[in-house]
Amino acid sequence: MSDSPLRIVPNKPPESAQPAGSDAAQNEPKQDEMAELRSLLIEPEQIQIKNILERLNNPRVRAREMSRSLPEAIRQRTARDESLKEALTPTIVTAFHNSVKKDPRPVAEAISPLMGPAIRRAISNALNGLIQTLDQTLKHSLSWRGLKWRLEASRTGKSFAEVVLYHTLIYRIEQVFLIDKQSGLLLQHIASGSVSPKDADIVSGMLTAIQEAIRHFAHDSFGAHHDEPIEKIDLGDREVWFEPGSYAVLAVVIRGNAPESLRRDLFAPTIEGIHLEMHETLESFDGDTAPFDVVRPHLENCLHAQYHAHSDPAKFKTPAYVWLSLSLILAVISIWTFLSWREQRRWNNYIDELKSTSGIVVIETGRRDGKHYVAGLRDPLSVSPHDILLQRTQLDPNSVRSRWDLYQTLDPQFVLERAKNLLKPPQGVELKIDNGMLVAGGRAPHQWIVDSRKLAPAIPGVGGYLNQELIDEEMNEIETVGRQIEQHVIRFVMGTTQLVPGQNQELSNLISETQKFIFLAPTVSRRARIQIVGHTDSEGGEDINMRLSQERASRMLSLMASRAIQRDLMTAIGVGTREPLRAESSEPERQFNRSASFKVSLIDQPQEGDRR
Amino acid sequence: MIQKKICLLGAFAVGKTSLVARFVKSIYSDQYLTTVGVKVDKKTVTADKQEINLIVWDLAGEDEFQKVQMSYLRGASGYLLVADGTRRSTLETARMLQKRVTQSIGMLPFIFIINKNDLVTEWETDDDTIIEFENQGWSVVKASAKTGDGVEAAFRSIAEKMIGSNYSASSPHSGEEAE
Ligand SMILES: Nc1nc2c(ncn2[C@@H]2O[C@H](COP(=O)(O)OP(=O)(O)OP(=O)(O)O)[C@@H](O)[C@H]2O)c(=O)[nH]1
Ligand SMILES: [Mg+2]
Repeated sequence: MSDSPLRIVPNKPPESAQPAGSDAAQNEPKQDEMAELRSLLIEPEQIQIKNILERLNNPRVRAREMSRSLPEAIRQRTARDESLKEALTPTIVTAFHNSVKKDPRPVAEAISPLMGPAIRRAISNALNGLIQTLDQTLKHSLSWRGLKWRLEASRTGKSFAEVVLYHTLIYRIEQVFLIDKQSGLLLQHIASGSVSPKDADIVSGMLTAIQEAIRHFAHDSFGAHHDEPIEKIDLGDREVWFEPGSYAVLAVVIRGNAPESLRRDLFAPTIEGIHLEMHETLESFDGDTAPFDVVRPHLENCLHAQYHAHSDPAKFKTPAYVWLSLSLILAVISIWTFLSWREQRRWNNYIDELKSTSGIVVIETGRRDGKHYVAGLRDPLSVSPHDILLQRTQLDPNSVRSRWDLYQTLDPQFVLERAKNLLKPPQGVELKIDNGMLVAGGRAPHQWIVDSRKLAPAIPGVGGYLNQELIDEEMNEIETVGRQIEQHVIRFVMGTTQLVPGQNQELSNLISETQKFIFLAPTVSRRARIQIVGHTDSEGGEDINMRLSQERASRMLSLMASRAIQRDLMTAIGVGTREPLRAESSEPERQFNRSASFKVSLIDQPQEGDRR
Repeated sequence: MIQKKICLLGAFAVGKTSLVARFVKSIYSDQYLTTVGVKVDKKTVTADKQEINLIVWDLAGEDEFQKVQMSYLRGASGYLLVADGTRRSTLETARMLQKRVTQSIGMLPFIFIINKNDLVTEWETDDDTIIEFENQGWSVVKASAKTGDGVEAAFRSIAEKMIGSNYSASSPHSGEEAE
């Protein structure tokens, strides 16, 4: 700036006047007055000029002053004409280029806030589908529709999410472009009725260029391959999906959210079909698009399929009464579902109960004629299935049909029960099953013992009958009485058949015991026999003694018969001295041998014995 | 109707976008809005008594930081090389771009437009230079987007070249792959 024209103007600094002034003072004193006068007249101006010159020549001051006026100056100049812009452009452009060349980072940082959102958007678009899927799935999985779609999903083998997407997304395929892959020239285009197509061939070119640009960007930014196909671009309220073939690309403009499956189910087959049909034409395409009129139906099919699905928003508005009846149906269904679930649970419990009951074998369960059905085997001794049904479940007995065939289980518990039922053991008898054998213990009437011995082996499940431990009550008693009878010795006066006096008590005991013995014998199926044996002492001749003993026994028999003992049950024999009761070493011992003793026995009486 | 794709390429600010605007819409503006990426336009022309739908790809100009992406030229039937008569360097850029196109895409019909003919006083390009280009077999057209001078002619002659030329034998798909 030192060469700036401003500097030339104040060529004569005011200081240079002073030396001139001092010269004059040396020459002439008068001039002092002149000088004084002059100074009086022009000093204020001189000071002003001095200040001005200082302002002009001091770069710092000048810079400060200019900094005050520069913005205003630029404003004024810019308002007047373009010359400032023109003057500055080369400098600014060069400066910018230099700056970027030196260090591109500031510029990169400056524009990165713009890039960030763009990349974010790309990513969020990629995520869109996923979030949407989850969201929709959650929203619809519990509704009536959800149930319907679950059915559809299982019927068609698609995933539930896929079915939900297919049904819920409202979208519209607005335009379909068939574009030459290389040149971006439009081969064919159709648009849905309500869409006003812009210049389709320009759009076609733009779409191709955009794909190219994205590829470059992707390549430069993350090293993606140049030929990576672009799947879709997001234009805010709509998307353009690309479905590439080897020569042509299908570009589909979609408003709203279309299910990803469209690509697989509709677009890919379409572009493949077109390639199949138009292969040669596509290969040799050189700008003549007329032959591609024939593919219009293919493209229209893309539009049509979309309409067919559900582009019509009116269809999605469900009238209130439909909702009302739907919820009613839903309520009925859920109540029904609950009831049948509860019923089923009760039924299952019943079946489980039956299965865990011994003596019951469940063979078949199910439903017949709208009723529960159960069939199986049961031991007659088991708890009745019907009782279980009534007492342990809340099932309606009328809703259950059962068929039980009887069988006899070998379960020891049941065999024992069966045995008890059949044998009816009297009190005092204990039955048990041991190793398949029925074992009886305790005391029992003789008749029961006889009967049980016959019956027990025939009881199902009884492998044998053991009753050795069993005490025969009657036999026991009869034996006791028998032993008491045989203790009695009725004495006679020496040499006579006269009873020694004072034996009345013994005699009556003998009679009553004998009567009891005879009475009891039939209870053990026998007949009583009483043998009366006459004895003598060793004094006297043998013949006489023999006869005497015989007479004594007969006398005894008559006596007993007179006391109501059946005569034919008794026998009387005399043994003389052959079977002495005592050793006769004294008189009382000798007296013992002048007597009658008794022997009892029981003989079998098969025919008429059982009088019990 | 026959469709043809043509591209405009050249250094930045030589007037490619202005030429297209003039050609397609007959408008011109002194404002410079640099092209980002590609701008596609179309215009129907008659060449050889045949109607042709020209799809015009106006590419971003080449500068030190941004090269013209050759892949944009795939499938093009021809191109317009544009230079700015007032900037000599843009003619060199044009020469270089032509080489690059030939290398990566193959021989394609093209017209060399030297633009801003209205500023002829400020031209740094003399007739000798132009003759030099013509001697190499280039079709050179002096034009001005501002006045419209030579613009129609340039577009029509590229259309004719594409229709009539033996280049047309090289269909877009038989050309070499870009890059
Ligand atoms: N005087 C004059 N100016 C022109 C002419 N053509 C274009 N311009 C101006 O030159 C500047 C650049 O013009 P554009 O058409 O934007 O140039 P471009 O080649 O498209 O530039 P990029 O897109 O950046 O590569 C603008 O200010 C135009 O007004 C012309 O024929 N004469
Ligand atoms: Mg431009």
